[in-house]
Amino acid sequence: MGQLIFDGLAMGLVFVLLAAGLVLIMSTTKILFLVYGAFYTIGAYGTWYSMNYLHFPYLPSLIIGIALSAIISMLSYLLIFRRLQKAGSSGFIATLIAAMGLSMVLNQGGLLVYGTLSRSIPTVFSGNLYVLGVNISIDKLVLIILSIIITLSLFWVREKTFFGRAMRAVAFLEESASLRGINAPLIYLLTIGLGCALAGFAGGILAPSYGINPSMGNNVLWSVMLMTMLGGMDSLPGAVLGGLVVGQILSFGQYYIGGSIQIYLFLIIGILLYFRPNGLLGHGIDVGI
Amino acid sequence: MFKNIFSGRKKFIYPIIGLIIFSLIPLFVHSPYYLDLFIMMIINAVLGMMFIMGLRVGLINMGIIAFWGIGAYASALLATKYNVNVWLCLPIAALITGIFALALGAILMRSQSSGLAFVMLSIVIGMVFNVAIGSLSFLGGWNGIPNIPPPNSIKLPFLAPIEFVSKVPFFYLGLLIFVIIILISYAFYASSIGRAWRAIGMSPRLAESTGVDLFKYKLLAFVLSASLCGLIGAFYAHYQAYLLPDYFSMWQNIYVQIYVILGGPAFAFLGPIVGAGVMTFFPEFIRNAREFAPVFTGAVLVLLIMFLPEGLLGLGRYRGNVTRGIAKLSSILERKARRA
Amino acid sequence: MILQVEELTKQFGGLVAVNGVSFNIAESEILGIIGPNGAGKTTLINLICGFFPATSGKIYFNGQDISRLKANRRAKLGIGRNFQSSTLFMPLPVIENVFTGYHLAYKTNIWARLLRLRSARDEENALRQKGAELLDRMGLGAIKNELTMNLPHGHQRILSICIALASNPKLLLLDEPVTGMNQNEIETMLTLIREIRNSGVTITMVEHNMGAVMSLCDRIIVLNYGKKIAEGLPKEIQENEEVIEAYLGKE
Repeated sequence: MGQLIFDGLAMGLVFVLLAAGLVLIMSTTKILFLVYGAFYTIGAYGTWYSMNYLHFPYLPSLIIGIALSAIISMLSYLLIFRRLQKAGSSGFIATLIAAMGLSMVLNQGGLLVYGTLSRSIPTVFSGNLYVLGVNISIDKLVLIILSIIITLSLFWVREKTFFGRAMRAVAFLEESASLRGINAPLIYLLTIGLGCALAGFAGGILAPSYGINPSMGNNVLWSVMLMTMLGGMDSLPGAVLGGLVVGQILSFGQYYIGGSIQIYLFLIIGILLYFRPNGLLGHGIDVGI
Repeated sequence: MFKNIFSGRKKFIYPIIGLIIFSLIPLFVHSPYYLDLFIMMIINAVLGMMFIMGLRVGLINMGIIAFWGIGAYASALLATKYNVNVWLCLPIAALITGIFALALGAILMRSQSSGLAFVMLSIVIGMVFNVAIGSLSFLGGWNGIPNIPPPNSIKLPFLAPIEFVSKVPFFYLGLLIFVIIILISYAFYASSIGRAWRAIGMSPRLAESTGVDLFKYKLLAFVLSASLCGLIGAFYAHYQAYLLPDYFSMWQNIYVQIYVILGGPAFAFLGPIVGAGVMTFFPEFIRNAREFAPVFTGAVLVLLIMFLPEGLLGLGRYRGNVTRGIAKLSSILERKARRA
Repeated sequence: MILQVEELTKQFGGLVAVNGVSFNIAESEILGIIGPNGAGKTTLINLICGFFPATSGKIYFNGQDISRLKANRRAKLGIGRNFQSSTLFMPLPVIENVFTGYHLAYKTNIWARLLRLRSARDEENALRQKGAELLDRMGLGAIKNELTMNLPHGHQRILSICIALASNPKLLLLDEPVTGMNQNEIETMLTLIREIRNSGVTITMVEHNMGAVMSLCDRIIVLNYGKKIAEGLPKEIQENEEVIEAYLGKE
């Protein structure tokens, strides 16, 4: 039981990072960012390539993976999304379509680049602790600690730094943010870079434990979408809540009920969304449709 | 009745000609592989049309495949588990899909919920359906539903009965359902209901002030498009003869949107036909590079939405420019020739 | 009393846009609603026609409590309104815009309409004809096949009123009908409004143009910061201390 909680926590915290990244991107840029999963994959593969071809140790490789995700995402913004970001339903659909198309390119293109084999990265921290009958593997522990640190940093950035406040200002009303001297396109750019860096980190940090395969981004995308919907698309605490809750439910549910846990999870979330369409902690994003 | 719907207007000549040409295809194309592609093109076109029906009233249904799937599974189960005559299964499946849509729609379309909420919930519906058919054993689980019977043979007087064995009868049945769906859709679009839909799509406030009940009309568009998706889904089930959960993944929804964007979202019928046609047949032209298809598709999609958001048919707008350009070019060339 | 508004209040988060406003509108009168910018006039109109529910208070239309009804139901009961000119069906021709206003007028059976039987087609033609006549009466007959987006501003304003009139309203709410128009256009509009009233429609008008308001309205209500600060005949309002204060204070 404690084991389940621990494992669920590890998975949950990574979900939190993924959800947080997605929430930051979507609440600020108002784009339904379906290409997010691809950056999770890119982070993992970037790490792997760096370790296997450049022969860098894990940590620098992880940084390379993160950088790769961030750079590609920011390029996509500059080349593609920037011109499509318009108010109203035509802008919404345009960015949605672009995200879908880009996702196909990155995921399937990734398949061509990476090949179809699953890859693995040796775990960096080996060893286990035994506390209260729970097998705590060190790498998962490191993961948990890192995730908590990063999550707290995100909150700090959002509340205390100029960037964070600029993100919120732009999310609320782009026009008035621009009037106050905030360079909205730059904020969008950096937010996407940050969010996808988080995705890349999640991919790279989970790689040793969960392996790497070309469809990992895809699998994870819809679950993360669901988590952000649950917590509220514009709420960072909501992302934390959504990630943890879903992580725990999946962990317990997988153990007790098996695969069909997902249906019940989705149904519950669907019902919750009916009563609170903005998610548990969210206030709703105005995308103009 | 047909005369009333068409009221003898000339512009129906083109669709009728198109239909006649299309129905001659099996006479020239004998390969089952290509006939299958044509049938899939018809099915995909219908899905695109139904997506547009929702889009017209501001509903972006990201889970439309779920309704296609409800029709498919309902029909398959009725035929395999309850031995219902396949010809009855089709309309019943459409009805079942409509009922689901009614129940879901009543929830999805509360007046306070924004368009974004609908998008989100439609994603959830798509996901729930995909997971449900993969996990629940009475829906077949990840094995799907095998051995779905084809429609019972049609016994005609004086002629040999029509057996649904080769692809050809399926082609015509699919075409028939396609035409029925178009007729039904057109009847709605051309009526006061269609005008109310158009008003809602262009300016919901203005529509409301003229007395249009937004909830009722949006729900109607949703239920109708879902039911017709269910109908073509039922056809698909009996055509394919087996159903696998893989066919109903979330990404299939995105393909539907590609059909719409590629053809042009402004064209309710021709757009999806063009879009589905290109998407279904395009991989054939680059057969050697088959594995590149999704990458190419994705890239084309991005380029389309950036540079050609009105779709291929939207290029028709430039027809006048092109002919004028050609005329100008030829007059310039003419002058040059005279001087020389 | 065609309309009774009782203690109507609308709060948006922390902002109270309309604060405990009460007034009545008598049949066939032209009532003006004026006030400095931000006084809550447009919100009040939106509350009456039902685009959002009030936070508290009641509205009675011909004695019936409509406070909980949605906008389309109120339209059916006979409340119509115009819009600022950007709210029109721009890609459509003028005649089609007016035609949408007849949405509530269909009497034929829905099946007849779907199957496009003769009865439905005749009704449609008759309604289109009515629309054309309405456009003629309002002076837009010549341009009925023009695309709405190509119309000059003034004509778009009149079209917006035409759409509202198509549904045969008993109470017509006008949102700044002459703001931004030149003198000629204003004269035309005022004449039209008088004609509409003479045909039996009660009119309520939100406007900034004092000249128009004073010459047209039978009675006037003044709002400031969401509250009603004055009510009476035009002459009384012009001499009202508080009203003058409110307008001067805003400068």
